[in-house]
Formats: sequence, C-alpha cells, structure tokens
Amino acid sequence: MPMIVCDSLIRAANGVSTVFPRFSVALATFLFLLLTHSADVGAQLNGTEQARCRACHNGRFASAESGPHSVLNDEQRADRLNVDFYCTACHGDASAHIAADGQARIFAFRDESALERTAVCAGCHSNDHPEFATSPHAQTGLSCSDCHSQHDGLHDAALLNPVTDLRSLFHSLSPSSAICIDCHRETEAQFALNERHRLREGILECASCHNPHERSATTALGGFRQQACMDCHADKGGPFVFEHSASRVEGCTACHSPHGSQNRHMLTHQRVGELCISCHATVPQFHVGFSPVGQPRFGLDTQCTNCHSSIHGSHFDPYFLR
Amino acid sequence: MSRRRTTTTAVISLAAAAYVGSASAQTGSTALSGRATLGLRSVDIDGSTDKYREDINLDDGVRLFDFSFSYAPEDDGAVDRVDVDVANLGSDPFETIQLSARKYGAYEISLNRRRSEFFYRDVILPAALASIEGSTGGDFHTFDFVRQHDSANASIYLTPATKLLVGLDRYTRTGDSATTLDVQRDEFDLERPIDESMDSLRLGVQHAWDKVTLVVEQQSSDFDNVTHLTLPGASAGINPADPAELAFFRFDQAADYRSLAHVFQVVARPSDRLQISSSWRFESLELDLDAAEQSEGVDFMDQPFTTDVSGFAGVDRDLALGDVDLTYRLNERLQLIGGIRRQELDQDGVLGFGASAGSGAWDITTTGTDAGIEVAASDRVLISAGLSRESRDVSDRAALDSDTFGGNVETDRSGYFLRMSYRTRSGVELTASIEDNDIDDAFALSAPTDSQRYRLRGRYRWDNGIALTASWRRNEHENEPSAWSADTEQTSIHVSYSTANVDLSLGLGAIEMSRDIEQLVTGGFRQDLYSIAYLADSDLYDASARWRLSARYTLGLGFHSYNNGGSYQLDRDDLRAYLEIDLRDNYFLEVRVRSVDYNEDEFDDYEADLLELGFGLEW
Repeated sequence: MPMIVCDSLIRAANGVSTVFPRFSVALATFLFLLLTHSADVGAQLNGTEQARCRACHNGRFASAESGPHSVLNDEQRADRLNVDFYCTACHGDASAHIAADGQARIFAFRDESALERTAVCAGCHSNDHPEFATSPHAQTGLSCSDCHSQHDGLHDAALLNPVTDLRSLFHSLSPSSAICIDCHRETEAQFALNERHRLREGILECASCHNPHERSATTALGGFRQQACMDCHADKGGPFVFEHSASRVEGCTACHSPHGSQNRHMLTHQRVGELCISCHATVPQFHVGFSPVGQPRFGLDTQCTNCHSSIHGSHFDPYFLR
Repeated sequence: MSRRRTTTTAVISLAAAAYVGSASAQTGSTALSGRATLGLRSVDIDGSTDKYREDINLDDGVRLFDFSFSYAPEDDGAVDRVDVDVANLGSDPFETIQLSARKYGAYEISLNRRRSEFFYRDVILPAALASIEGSTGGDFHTFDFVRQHDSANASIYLTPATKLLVGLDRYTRTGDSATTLDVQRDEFDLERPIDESMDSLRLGVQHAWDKVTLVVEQQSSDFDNVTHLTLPGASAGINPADPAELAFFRFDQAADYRSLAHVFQVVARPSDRLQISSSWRFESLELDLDAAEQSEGVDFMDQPFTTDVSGFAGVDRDLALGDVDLTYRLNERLQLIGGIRRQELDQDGVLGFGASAGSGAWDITTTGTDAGIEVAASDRVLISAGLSRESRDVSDRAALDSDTFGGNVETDRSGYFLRMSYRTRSGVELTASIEDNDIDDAFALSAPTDSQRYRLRGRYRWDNGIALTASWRRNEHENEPSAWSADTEQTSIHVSYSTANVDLSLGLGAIEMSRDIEQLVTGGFRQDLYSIAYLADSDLYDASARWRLSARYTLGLGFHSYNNGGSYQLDRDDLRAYLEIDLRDNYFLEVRVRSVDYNEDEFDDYEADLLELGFGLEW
C-alpha cells in the first residue's frame, strides 16, 4: 500500500513537473521519504533513482507501470527476486547512468550480446522456458527482447513486439504468428498454397503446433512428432490394434506436408499411388494381375485408399481395409 | 448459429460498442480501446462451387466482421487488463472468440473458442477417363464437417511463489463424410457421419523456492468417436464388371479412450551460471471399442451372401517421456548446453470380430543426447555448434487369425548443427544455419539415411522506412539403399516501405519440391519398375499498398498470385481493394472488394467476386 500511495503521489508530482521540474523531483523525494519513514537508506535511494528514470524516460516508465512487470513494485515479490524496482530489475545498476545525466551506458537491450540479454530475462523467467537455450532461436542469436518487449508490446498479453505490416489485406494473423512470420517468410509462403492449414485465416497460430522456446521438432524423438497434430486430429492418432507403421514411427510428416501443399489432403504427392509405392515395394499378386506381360493392373494413378480406406490405422484389419 | 441470432448478436455487440465508446469519450478515459465492424457480404461464384468451398468458403449475409476491446484501468482494482477479440462471427468458416482477464501477479484467465468448417469434394478425373479396374478415376472421400475447440485456462497465484494451473478443453468434430470400402473385392461408396469429441482437464501446481521450481500437473482426456458406415442405396459397386453387389450394408463402431498423464518438471539454478531442468511425463491410455457389421448382397462369385458379425477391440498404451537439459554459462561470451531424452512406448491391442481374433503390439524405445556450445564472439556475432545422437528400437508384432506380421528395426542417428548470427549496429541482421544427420537403418524405404538442412536469412531496416527481408532454405533427404530422395528449396524476398501515410510491400517467393525413387515392385511372380519423379514448382507474388488519402479516406490495394508447375498445374490470382471512410464521432464505413481466379484443370476452376460493406466504430 505505501508503494501504491507513493506511486500515485509521484504521478501527481510529475503532473506539476511540466512547470516546476526541479520542484517536482524534490517533492517526490520528500513524499517518498515521508511515507516510507521506516524504510532503510537503500529503499530511499531506489525511490530517487526510480523518479530519475521517469524524469527522462517517462514513456518507457509508464509502459512498465501498466505492464505485468509492475508487480516488481510489490515489496514481497521484489525481495524474493532480489531486485530494487522494475527499471533496475532488467537494466541493472543505473547509478553511473544517472550520475552522468544519461551519458554513461546502461544495459539497454540493444547493443549487448544475445547471451547477455537472455540471461537478464532468465533471471526471473527461467521457470517459464527452461529449454530456451537449446532452441534453434537461441542458437541463432535471438534473445527474449527480439520478440518480446516490456515497453512496446503492451497491446498483447505475451508482450510481443507489434508487427503491423503483416496484419493487412491478406492476413488475419494473430500477433504471435505475425512475429514468427516477420522472420520466417519462406515458411509463411507455404500457407498460401492451395491445400493448407488456415494460418492466414486466423483460425490457427504458429504456436498452435510449435513452441518457439523449445528445441525444434526435428530433434524431438521419433514417432511423437505427431503429438501436436493429435490435438485436432485425434481420430488419426489411434491407438489402433493395427498401426500404420510409418505414421506411428516416423510421424505424420512421413506422408503429409503440414504447413501447406500443392496436393490434396496436404500429401507429399498428388497421386496417392506414388506416395504408397514410395514405401511399399511388395504387393499381392492380384494387385498386378496374372499376366506376366502387359500393363500391371495397378499403377501410380491408383487410388490405394479407395480400398485401404482406414489408412491411418485399423482395429480390425492389418491391411487397413476396415 | 442461425442468421437471426447472428444478426441480433452483431447488432447488440455494435450497440454495446457504441455505448462503451461514447462513455469512454465522455469521461476522457484512455482505459478503454476497441473496434467493432458490422456488415454485409455478397458472394458471386462462377465455376466449381465445390472448389470455392474448399478454398475460401465465405458466404453471403450479415456478419460481425470484428469486435475487439481492451480495458486497462489505471487504478489498482480487481483487474489490470481485459481483452476481448471476436472475428468473423456469423456462420463464416473460421470464427474465433477470445476473452482474457488478468491481474498481474494475481491471476490470468483466458477463454477461447475456435470454430472452423472443412469441406472437401474433389474430382481428379472425369469418370469417362477413369480406369475402374485400376481403381483410378477420382478421390471418393468427401468431407463436410465443423471443428470446434473451446478452452478455458487459468493460472492463479496462491502466493507470490505458488501458482495454481487449471485448463479445460473441449474439442468436437461433427458433420458428414463419404468414404469407400472394399466389400467382396469391389469398392462401394458409403456415407459416414462424423461424431467425435474430446474433453481434457489439466490441473497443476507450480512452486518456486529460491533456487528450485517444481511443477506438478495431472492431465486427463476422454475421447469418444462414433462411426456409422451406411450404404445410401443398393449398389453394384464402382466396378460394373465385378459381379459383387450390395443390397444393404451397415458398419457401426463406437470407440472411446481415457488417458491419464502425470507431468513433473523441475528447474534448478544452483548458481547464476548453471541451470538444470528436467521434465517427465507418464501417460496411460485405455481404448475400448465395439463394432458390428451387417450386409446383404451378391459376392464376387455371383452367389448371394449375408453377414452379421460383431466384435470388440481394446488397446492399452503406456508412455513415458523424460528429459534433462543443462545450461552452463561460463561467462558473458560462452555457454554450454546439453541434454538427454528418453522415450518409452508400450502398446498392446486385441480384437475379436466374428470368428476372427487378432492382436497388435508395439514397443518403441528412443534415447537421444545432444551437446553444444554457444559463443558470443562479439556483441554482434553469435556462433552455436553441437552434436546430437539418437538411438531408436522399434518392435512390432501383429496377428490376425493364423497370419503374423511384424519385425524389429534399430535405427541410429548422429548429426551436427552449426548456426551463426551477425547483427551490425546499423541494423543489418544475417543468420545462417546448417544441420546434417546420418541415419543407419531407416525405418522405411522413403525415410532418410542422409539429411541436410541449410538456411540463410538477411534483414535490414533503413531509417527512411524501407525494410528488406530475404531468406533461403534447402532441405535434402536421401535414402541410399532404396535410392529415394526428397529435396525442398524455398526462397523469399520481401520489401516494405512505411511512412505516416503510406504502407507499401512487395514480396516474391518460390517453393520447389522434388521426390524421386525408382521402385521395383514385386507382385507374386511379376516385377514391375515404377519410376516416380514428383516435382512441384511454385511461384508466389504479392503486393499491397495502403494510402491515407486524407484525414477521412484510406485506400488499400493488394494482389496475390500463386502458380504451380511441375507434376500438377495450378494457379490462383487474388485481387483485393478497400476504401475506409472516417465519419464523425469515431464511426467509419468500409467497402471491400475481392476477386479470386482459380485454375486447376477444366473441372475445378472457379472465379469468385466478393463485396463487403462494413459499418464500424473505433474508440
């Protein structure tokens, strides 16, 4: 409560600051000292620094106040996380920067290495995304601040940086998908193909299937790359008494192109016979006919699934006829 | 949702928006912001209506095109932020409703609904060109159903260190479909209504101590799927030369499974430099199924037959997934990463159907390890490199009456990755990555024994508002024993220019895919060589412009073109334009036109013209 009252008073003081800047700073400091008379010297110094941050960076300060990091103003939480107040929680020691009237460098999430920027966020958020360091995003030099912003992303619950040029004529993209596509343009092009998951229509997001904070799907263990698919396509995932081996072991991408495809059912081949024959080099005699010469009965144009209709798996027939 | 209900909902929503917006304006409150657009759509289709429904599927009628508002009060009350987002309400094929409320450090609640329609009815060849005996001629599977996903999630801070996690999901799929079935060596078209649902519950607790965080979660799922295959009328089958006929056919199957999963996650930070995380998931699943088949007709020997059989099936699956990851930051420039993963699947199924009995069992054990290093060579350059290995043991055994199937395959993968990023102070970003994997004993003839992925990306934003992004990606997969290969290459260039009054963008993309194999197929005493050479060569162009003509008028134009060559010819042009007119008191009018020209072959072409008129409010 004292912090909330103090905060309100500092706002009021800053309302005066357009006319009396030195007076408002002094007033804020005096009020802070008055209300936190039992606080130690360290807290009083922090309050002053906080006011100094705001004096030069009012917009950034206001955005922090109205965002989720404002919880760092809570004393109990701040104590547990060992931070002073929310500016220094991320930007580090500001004393030199303040003393030099802003001329000395401060950790600004702009010129530092990706490792350093990520380490700051991980100081509090390592629980949320413990595998981020193993993700291709981290390994390609991305840090948290490349996608998220405490100051610019307040329109979005995940504090995603706004990407406006993609939310336009051809897209009903969610903010999270727009962030992904800002880099992954070549992947987004697959969602423009004729058979596609409906990312552009807004019914799905990249995050519906991918977790950008974890290791890539290609390193996920075989056979369970299809787990994301099963959230919507549970009827295809079984379990079945007779499984389609390729699906069970290699995953759905053995036959399908999940982003988009030129082919029906998002298959990797337009002709079903081509896809099946790619793996199945042995068929019963009656498939090819009983004449040793002439054209075989079946071929690359054959719709194998006309008979093998339970192709994802069957409870009653090992050849997926039921 | 009926059109009357849609219209009523839309009008009420817009009225509510108008009230809120005017109240916000009167009080001068900046806590409320939002937008609502109500309108009419008209659609004119020339050509294949089925292909239009597969591709776009937008209908005539009244629509709530969008409704969104955000509320972020400045005072410290019960809520810090509320967001509502509704799109395409009114029987459009893709409807979304999202609501979230949060108080930072106290709770976060979200409710979501996603409803999508899926339609598929596609002709490959006209019947006159089809070979009935060769089972070509068309894709006889059709679909017309609705998917709906409702979810509710909450995280509640019981204390600053303890969080309660709750999640509810309901997924349904209902509608119609058609399929084919082999009966007496002929194929028959059957109707197959779709009735499927999945209910899931997640309950968990997260507690953070000073250096350790623990998450414990229970997840349960209940899946129900009822299948009925029915013959719509007496049928001679797809092949009239075959004597088999059906007078009556019905196949009923009711399946449900229940799964229970226990999830544990531990994140430990013994020091500022070291993090160890571990997660484990133990899941057990039980599926039970009853089925019955009745049929009557003439068999392939031209003799009358009837069948009336019933049966059951049951599958038990146990799954264990675990991983341990380690991150050690030596200093501000150097970080080590490593991980171990293991997965065990054990599945047993049995069936009894009429006089037949069978079983199927799977055992899959996979172990993976990886280790790497990340080096910040400077503030501008980051290089990551690492090795990974995976060993998978697959054993499957199946039997139906006296026939047995199955085998054992051990697959080993080893690989490396190398990634680099370079960012200049002027804003140039360059990234490159390579992944290479060698696989011994691939599971299938069209699974790779050799796999490479290459990726390059560059981006630059000038101060004058111009931004350029270029990317290239190539995947190469090869199976040496079978000589199968699959290559994909994608290229994209995108330029945009933004000022206060103008937004322009231009994009070029190319996707090339090839899959090849010379497959020697053995059928009894015959061997035939099938030469498969699939090629997809897609070019994509897009351009858009948005121009604020004046304080009142904004004009938008866009063009998207896609054409595919190679094994399958197809092209689609999509032209759009809109005019937005700002009226007084934050009201606006929108006029949107769209023209789509789709060419696949002479059977699946369509042209569609869409006109949308919208009236809205923004506050």
